Amino acid sequence: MAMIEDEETLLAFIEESLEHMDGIESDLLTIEENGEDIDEDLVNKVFRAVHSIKGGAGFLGLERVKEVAHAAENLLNLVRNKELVPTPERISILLETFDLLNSLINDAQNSNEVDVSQQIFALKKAVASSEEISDEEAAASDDANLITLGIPDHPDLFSINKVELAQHLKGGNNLYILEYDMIKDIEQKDKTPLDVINDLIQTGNYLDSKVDTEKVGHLEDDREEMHIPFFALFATIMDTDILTGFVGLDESCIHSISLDMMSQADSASPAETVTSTTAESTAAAAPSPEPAATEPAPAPAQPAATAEPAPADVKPKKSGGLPPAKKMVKDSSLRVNVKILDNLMTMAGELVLTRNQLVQAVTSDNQQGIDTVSQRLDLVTSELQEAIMSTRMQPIGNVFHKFKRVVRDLSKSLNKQINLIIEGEEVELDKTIIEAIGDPLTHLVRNSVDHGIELPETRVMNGKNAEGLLRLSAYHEGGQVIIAIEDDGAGINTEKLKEKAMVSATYDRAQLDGMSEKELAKLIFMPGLSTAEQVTDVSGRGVGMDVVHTNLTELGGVIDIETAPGAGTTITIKLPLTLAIIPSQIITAGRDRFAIPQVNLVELVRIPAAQVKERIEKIGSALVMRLRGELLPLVSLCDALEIEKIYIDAETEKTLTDRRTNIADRRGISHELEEDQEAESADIQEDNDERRASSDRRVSPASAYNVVVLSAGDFHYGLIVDSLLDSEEIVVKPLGGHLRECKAYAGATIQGDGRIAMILDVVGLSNIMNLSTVAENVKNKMQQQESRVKGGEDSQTLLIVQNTPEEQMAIPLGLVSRIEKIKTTDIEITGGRRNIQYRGGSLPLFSVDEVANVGHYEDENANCYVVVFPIGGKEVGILMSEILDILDTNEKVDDISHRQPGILGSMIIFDKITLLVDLYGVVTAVMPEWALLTTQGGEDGKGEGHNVLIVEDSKFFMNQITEFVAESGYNTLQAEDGVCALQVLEENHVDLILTDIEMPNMDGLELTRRVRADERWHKLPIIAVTSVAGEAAEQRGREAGVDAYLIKLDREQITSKMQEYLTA
Amino acid sequence: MAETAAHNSNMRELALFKVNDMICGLDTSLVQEINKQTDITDVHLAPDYVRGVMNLRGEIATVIDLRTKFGLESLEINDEMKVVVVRQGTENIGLLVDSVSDVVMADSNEISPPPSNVSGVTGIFFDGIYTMEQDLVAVLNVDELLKITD
Repeated sequence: MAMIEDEETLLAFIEESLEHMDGIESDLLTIEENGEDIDEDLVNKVFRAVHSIKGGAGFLGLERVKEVAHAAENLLNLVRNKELVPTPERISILLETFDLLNSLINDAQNSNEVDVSQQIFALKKAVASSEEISDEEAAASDDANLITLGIPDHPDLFSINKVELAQHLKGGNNLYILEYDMIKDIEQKDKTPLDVINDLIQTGNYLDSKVDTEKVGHLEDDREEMHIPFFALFATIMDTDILTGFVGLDESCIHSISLDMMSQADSASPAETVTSTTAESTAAAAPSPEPAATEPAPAPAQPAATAEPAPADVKPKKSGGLPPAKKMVKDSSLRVNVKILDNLMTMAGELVLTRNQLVQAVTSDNQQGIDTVSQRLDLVTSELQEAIMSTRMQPIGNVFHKFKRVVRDLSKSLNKQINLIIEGEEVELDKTIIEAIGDPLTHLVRNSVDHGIELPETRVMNGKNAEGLLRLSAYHEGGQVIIAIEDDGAGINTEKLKEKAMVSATYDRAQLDGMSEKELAKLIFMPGLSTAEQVTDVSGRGVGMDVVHTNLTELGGVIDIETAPGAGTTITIKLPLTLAIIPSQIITAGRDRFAIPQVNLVELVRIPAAQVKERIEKIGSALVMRLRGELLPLVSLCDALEIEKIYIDAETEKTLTDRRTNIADRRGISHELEEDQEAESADIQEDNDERRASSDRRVSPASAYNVVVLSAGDFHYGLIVDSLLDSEEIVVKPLGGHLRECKAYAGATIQGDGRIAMILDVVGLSNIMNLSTVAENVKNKMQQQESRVKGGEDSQTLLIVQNTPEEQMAIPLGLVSRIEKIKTTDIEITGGRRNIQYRGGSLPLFSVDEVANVGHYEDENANCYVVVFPIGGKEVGILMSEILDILDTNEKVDDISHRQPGILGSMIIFDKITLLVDLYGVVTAVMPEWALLTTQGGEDGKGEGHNVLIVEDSKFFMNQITEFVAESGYNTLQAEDGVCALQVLEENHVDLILTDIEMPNMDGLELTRRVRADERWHKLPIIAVTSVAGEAAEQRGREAGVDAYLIKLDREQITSKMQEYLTA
Repeated sequence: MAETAAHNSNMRELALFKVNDMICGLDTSLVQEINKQTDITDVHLAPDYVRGVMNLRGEIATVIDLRTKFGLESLEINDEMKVVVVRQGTENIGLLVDSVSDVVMADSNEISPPPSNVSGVTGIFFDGIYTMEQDLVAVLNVDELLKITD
């Protein structure tokens, strides 16, 4: 057996071969896709890969690899010459062949013992099946077609297939046998035989190589005289003299093989001439060259010692403690772009320079110099860090590509039709993550194909395209990478999952009934629930899904699942870019500092002391926080970690222990505190002092709450912290074994000052505090609220403002162009009207109380806010004392109780009556001439006679719109949904439609489609008015055939558009 | 005995330190270093006997409070206190002690098994008792001491 002694050469071969095979799978699949229409470059690429594998394997004595590669090469050659069509069957065989090659090469040491005859047979059969196309090619696989080539000294060096040879000689190639000397020409030139072969492959057609072992010198031979011939069979278009220069060999060592010789050799019986040498000599020769060259002494003994027949030696001794090849390849090396490396070198150079400067500055005690250098050091270090990180980054395409094959093979065996779409291959992730996500992703993809996407018949029956869609995508979002696996299959049957969860007794019925679809779907990640037998029977998903979940969580990933029965499943995985260094927010609680990974961070919220009462409340025993109409479980980090609470006394500046225990009800507690103090303190003076100190503390900015909103996978929660420090890039250090049970921490980091900050495990923390249950309760409450609120009205985005501290008002955000904070002193009063100099012009200011009977706006604060919006082609501002929030609401508008000029109606927001401001009403009431400006079209009578159909389900908006459309001089017709609208259209002449989008029975989009489809009305202008703004919504509207897409209550835009369409 | 000490295979070098009023000994071959710096960061929710973590030249080392481990009240950090760093597997662990006093050579033969009255809960932490001229030294069993419990 050929013991492979030369580790380096072998390793180089393995690495290179694996690299060659890297992209082959996808190439083959593309070739398959192209079918008869062959992309020659692509086939050539695959062909070359196999060819060089064959070459290297032959040289190293990896006989089986060589045989398989050779057979594959034959098949590919025929494909390349368009003599064979790459049918799916053939591609399958080739794919299997590459799998085999891969495993053979990975375990190169033992590859010669592997039985490959079946694969070779399959390959030959694939070639043979083309016999009817070309007899000649079929013969290519026949052994009888071997011819023997040689040079005078070695008449039977190579035996080669005639057809193959003919292929190589196409295009006027000359055939040469190059005689290298292992020592003189290779070793002493610092090359390896593999390098030589590679050089040859790049310049021509390399066919085969061989080492003459018999010539290997003896121990006692003078080194000078020793020579080990290394022959290479090479076809090229180059002449002998050019070739001499190229390969660096003496002319005497380049043997040109003429066709005569070939025919001569041909006449000899190939079988016999070959036997003696080829097989064994290549095998036996392999080990000798390198040792012979590097350490001539033991070399001569080698051939004899290892000359046992190749396959006989079943278990080769691992000489020299060589670890199994597979392991060596795995993480031994990494390819780095030379550019990056150069860049690194430059930066290393700069670092040295900076150090020199630093030393100099320190020695000369030059403070300014030190400052400059430290800045520079900061710059260089971060650049260096970035560059080094980039060497670890690899495109996710490396992982995605293998799924083409997985999906293809699986769908074939399952008789499914699947269209795999891959997006975002270029997204880069840390090498370790790339390596680790392969398996979990494969699991998920397999699940989608196996259980998600239905059989074509079922799909067609359900009115879907027979071909299923599987989309794999990756993209960046907020410093993380998101990977989504999306299928349009059957979805997860949550009902059945529920039953199974009942059986496994992890949850009781009440719990399960309370779960949302999403949470139920997430059950598949539960261990025990998702063992193969159990869940595959049931929902069809969950084979090892808990393992997937665990693996991804270990990587710092967050996994999310969304499923709709019959419509498909989407699984999203959020991953950090890298594991070693993570951007984090540093916070404090008590006397300690903590780091929170940005990955988990959603937002930072500060709740001013004044708002604590309305924004923080209790559900049961748990705290919740209101955030833009949503309720979030809230927990104090001090409570969660049992940290002693502290505060800094405003007067003494001493750090004291905080005695407050209740967050939500501050008033009650401060009262209690006072009582406490009164009881304790006899001295009245002291008491007063204390009280002042305590009240100071409570209204000072320091008593506001800092809340960090965190994402714990399927829900968000708020964490109250004492203060927020910087956001920093931290290096994660593991914790010792004794702290492994502390689920609240993900590790620790050492900060610039040498102190340690613990890294919080956001999910672990939520488990400790049992927040998912809280989240559950909160959601239930929200749902109740929602169902109470639901009146079929679509949601609106409102700007919540304060006119006076007691009076809350709302303005539809869509109408607002900007909000400006101004100094009250900047307001000028000209001609009895308030103005402010603004962007080089003057901005007229109004307040709601000028028109409506509301609280009087006073310019008493130093600052106030101006809500700027356009009217009549110019901008005006409405004064407000405070901006509170922006929120989405579908709260019903009460347009009766508070209706008055300037006020459209009222609604309840934050448990307060909130007046909806009529911006136009305010302005036009004060400046009636501006109203004329905006509705001029109507006044001119142009609008007259035109019928405008208004389709709107909300009574409030209907009234609003009707009013100003009528004001503009148009006749109005009303319909409360799409169905009614069509009826009205049938019965009346309509010149223009103004329609809402969200409506019961038939929505605005559907209405538009119907109208457009009807010949009578297909040119009718349609304006969509909606509160759902946004690019995507607008796009959908346009697709349906809407002419313009406007915001409800944007009277100005709507009238001008109407005018535009009706006068056109 | 003294002159042959270093070469006698029966001799063990013990680092002596105090925990409360008890003198403890630890084979110096087990001690990585003795650290004066006692800037220890609290780890909330950690097991009681874990005093916290410290920055040991860029690594995070867990610090175990031997007082708590022996069932005693733990003390506020003071200048006398030291951290004896020992290695467990791939990890360095600090043992917080009241003070470090000496290194002595002890004849293994003179280390007797712990008398029955020091058995009980904390008894498992001792390998034996070494009798010096005036004091008794409790030789610690590091493996038992570092066992992960909660």
